[in-house]
This record gives sequence, C-alpha cells and structure tokens, in this order.
Amino acid sequence: MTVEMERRGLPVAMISALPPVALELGANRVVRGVKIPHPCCEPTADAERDRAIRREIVERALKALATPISVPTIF
Amino acid sequence: MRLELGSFPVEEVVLGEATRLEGRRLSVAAADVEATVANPAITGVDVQLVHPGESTRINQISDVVEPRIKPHGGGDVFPGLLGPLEPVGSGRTNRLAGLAVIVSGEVPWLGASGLFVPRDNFIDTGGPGAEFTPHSQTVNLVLRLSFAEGFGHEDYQQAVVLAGLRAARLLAATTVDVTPKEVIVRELRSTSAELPRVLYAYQVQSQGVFMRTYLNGRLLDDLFPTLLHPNELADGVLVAGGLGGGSVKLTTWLHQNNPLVDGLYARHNVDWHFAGIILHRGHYYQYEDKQRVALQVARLAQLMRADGVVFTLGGGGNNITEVMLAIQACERQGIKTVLLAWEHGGPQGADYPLPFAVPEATAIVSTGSMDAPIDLPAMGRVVGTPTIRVRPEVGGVPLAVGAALELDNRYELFGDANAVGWQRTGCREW
Repeated sequence: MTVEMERRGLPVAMISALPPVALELGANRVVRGVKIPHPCCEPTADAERDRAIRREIVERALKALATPISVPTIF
Repeated sequence: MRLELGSFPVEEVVLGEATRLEGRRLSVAAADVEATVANPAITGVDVQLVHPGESTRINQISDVVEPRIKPHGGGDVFPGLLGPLEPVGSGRTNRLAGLAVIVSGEVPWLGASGLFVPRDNFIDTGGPGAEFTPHSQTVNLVLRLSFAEGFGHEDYQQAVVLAGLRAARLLAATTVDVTPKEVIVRELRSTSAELPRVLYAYQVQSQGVFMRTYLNGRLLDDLFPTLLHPNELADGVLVAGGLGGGSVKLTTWLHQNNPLVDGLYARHNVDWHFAGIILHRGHYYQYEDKQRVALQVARLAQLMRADGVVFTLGGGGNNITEVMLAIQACERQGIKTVLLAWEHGGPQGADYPLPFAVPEATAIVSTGSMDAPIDLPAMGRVVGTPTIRVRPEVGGVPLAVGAALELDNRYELFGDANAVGWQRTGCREW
C-alpha cells in the first residue's frame, strides 16, 4: 500500500515495528513503532503512559510526512 | 555421546486384545491406548488405522510422534514431559520405524484469533497430496480425541501433547526385550581435523498457546539461543506444542526424524564435521530482540569454531528476520551460511518469496510454496471431521473435506512447506 500510494504521488509515513523490513519492501519514510502485535501502542503500560506513547508516534509520523528526504529514512 | 538407535520396522498395525509386537506387525489394544491418554480434558479416544497406499484424508492434526523408548535406563524419551530430567542422547533408544502416532481432534475454539488457536489442517495419504507429507508412507495410528468442555486452551494444548507422547511410548514399550532389525550408531566424534565444521541453526516457533515448542518440558517462549547435541533430538528433547499454520508446521515426528540432521550425520567425517545444533526461536516482537538473537547465534557459531552454518525456519512469517540477521552476522565473521526456507511468493511464485532478506544470503534452498493453488481429488475415506474450520481470524469458515478440493493456497495442507525439507517438493531456478 505504501509503495502504491507513493507511486500516485501521496507521501506516506509507514509506522512499523520492523523498520528494516519496511525499508526492504520499499517504504521511504519509516516510523519506528513499538512491537509487531501493537505497533502504535503499548498495552502493558497504564492508560496515561499509553496515550503519551500513541501521541508521540503519531506526531513523529506527521513530522516524517513534512520532512523532505532524499534517501529512505527511519524516523 | 554415543547413541545406538535400534529400529523395529512396522509394516502393519491391527487392533487386538493385547498391545504387542509380532515381527513387523504391531497389535494394539484400544483399551491400553484409552488408559494411557486419560486426561480430564479428554472425554474419549477413537483409534483409527491408516496404512500406506490408502486413499485417506486425515484432518485436524495437532501433532505426530514416532514411538520411541530408552529400554535400559539412563533416562527416557521426552524428558521433562514423560521421562525424568536426566541427560539423554546416549545409550540405546528403540524406535518403531515407519509407525506414526497422529494426534487428531476438534480442539474447541474459545473465541476468534488470528494466531493463538488450534489450527485445522489435513493430509492426504493418496493422490497428488501424498507427495507433501511423510505420512503417506508411514503406518499411521490416529488418535481421534474428543474434548471436555470447560477447559482453557492451555489445558487442551497440554492434553494433546501428552496424549501423543504417552501413546507413542506405550507402543514403543513393546520393543523392550526384542532384538532390533537394525542398529545405527550416532556420535559426533571427529576423525579428521581437516574437515570444515558445520553447525545446524535450528529455529523453532514458541510464541503462545498452540504456537509452541517444548525443550525438556519447558516452553520456549523466552528462548535465547542455546546449544543442543543432535542425539538429544533423537530422544525427544524437542516436542511440538501444536504449532499454528498447517503448511509450515514442524511436528515432534520431524524433530525426531529431522532430515537435515540425518543428512549432516550421513556425511559426518566424510565431507564435513557435524559440530552440533544451535537452537533458537523466531517471531520476537521487537526488532532489537531479533538483532539480539542473531548476534547470539553468530557468537555461538564462532565459539563452536564453525566454518559453515545451515539454517532452517520454524513456522512462517516474520521469523525470517531473525534468521536473515543471523546469516548476516555469521557471514560478516567469515562463517558461510545456507538457508532452507519455504516460499511465500504468491500463487504463481513470482512475487518476492521471503518477507525480509539480506545481501549476504546467497545460498537458499526452497522447501516448497505455501501459496501455490492446488486441486486435490476426494479421498476414499476421511479420518476426522467432514468439515474443518479455516480462517480462524474471523471466527472460522467451514471447509468440507469429503469432496474434491480446489484450494487457492496451501495453508491447511499439513507440512507442505515445512522448512526442514522432508516433503518431496521444492523450486529450482535456472
């Protein structure tokens, strides 16, 4: 999906628990996530901490979208 | 460590009044089997027999076990689950060669899940499907289990594992005072310092219930890479805990009869020195854990003075990452590597076949595709249920297995793409 969207001109930030795998598959803006079963949250953390983690990941993804890059990059 | 592996070939199994071995014919008393698999989570066992050449579809298989026993003390098979926690891998082990105990049954599904459910699957002992399983060529004693309600998946997992091991040991006990037809000796003693040292990096899956492997009775969910002697596998230190995914599943029978171990032994002291086994698990959830596993595999290989390491995959999916990183770490230390892997390259096999790769992985052997569509004719008989459950992630979709099957993929075809390479399929690029 990431590759196809970018092919049509939409920049994509891909949140992945395995950034090198995402790069291997052709993603350009890769955002490091938490773990494979839950890339965008941490269910073992309390609600407040989990919320902070979610917010930080989404903000990092938005920043990645807004950052010009010349080579595939991990954020 | 010197192991004498005594074979008692079985060509026929019959139900009878007593459980005993009569030449190449094994007589089994169903009452003995019922008594030995007794478990609060199991309400009954129906013993079905399937011989080579029959047109039979066996389904809902949770494990396969070869009957073995250590007849003269010095530990016993399946330590930590059946046998005491004593060292194994030396002395004498008897095996009922060509006989397989197949544990089958409709384990209750307790809610929808993509991963941690007992996956339904099947094998064919006749027709084109027979190519994909060793058990079209074994005499199969199928334990068709019924389950009590009110237990959890952990209870059911333990019940199916113990049922297979206990029944196998019961049958192997018929060999205790009998002379084997053949004895092979296995030891890693080296007769030449000139030969390259080859290690086997054996990956297993152990993530959670019904996706597990036991080592000496301990679940390997937290396994950090460790060393094994191949003779320990012969004595059942590794036991499958009902691994999800029929296509890439490694059974206890495959751990006992791993063809790569047989092959590494066959040319030990001839073309190489078989230096032992690194046992490790894949599917760690964090990339850093995958890197830790890879670094440790390479460190163990270096400490074992390996010149080469052969890798196989346990299960399917992101476990390729640990193996690829370990291949990279080994190659950077000057240790050559070979990988045996399933293919996940789409219906035509033309897509990128592995989810992750490193440039150092240049020697890869295909053990078959889990994606290629396949048509299978109806079998003369179904052992199991007329309808299996597929797509557990949506709570299950019924698939009738009594008729001919036109399958879009092979996920339910038990063992079709297992990475230790028993099946007679693969892919060659030229």
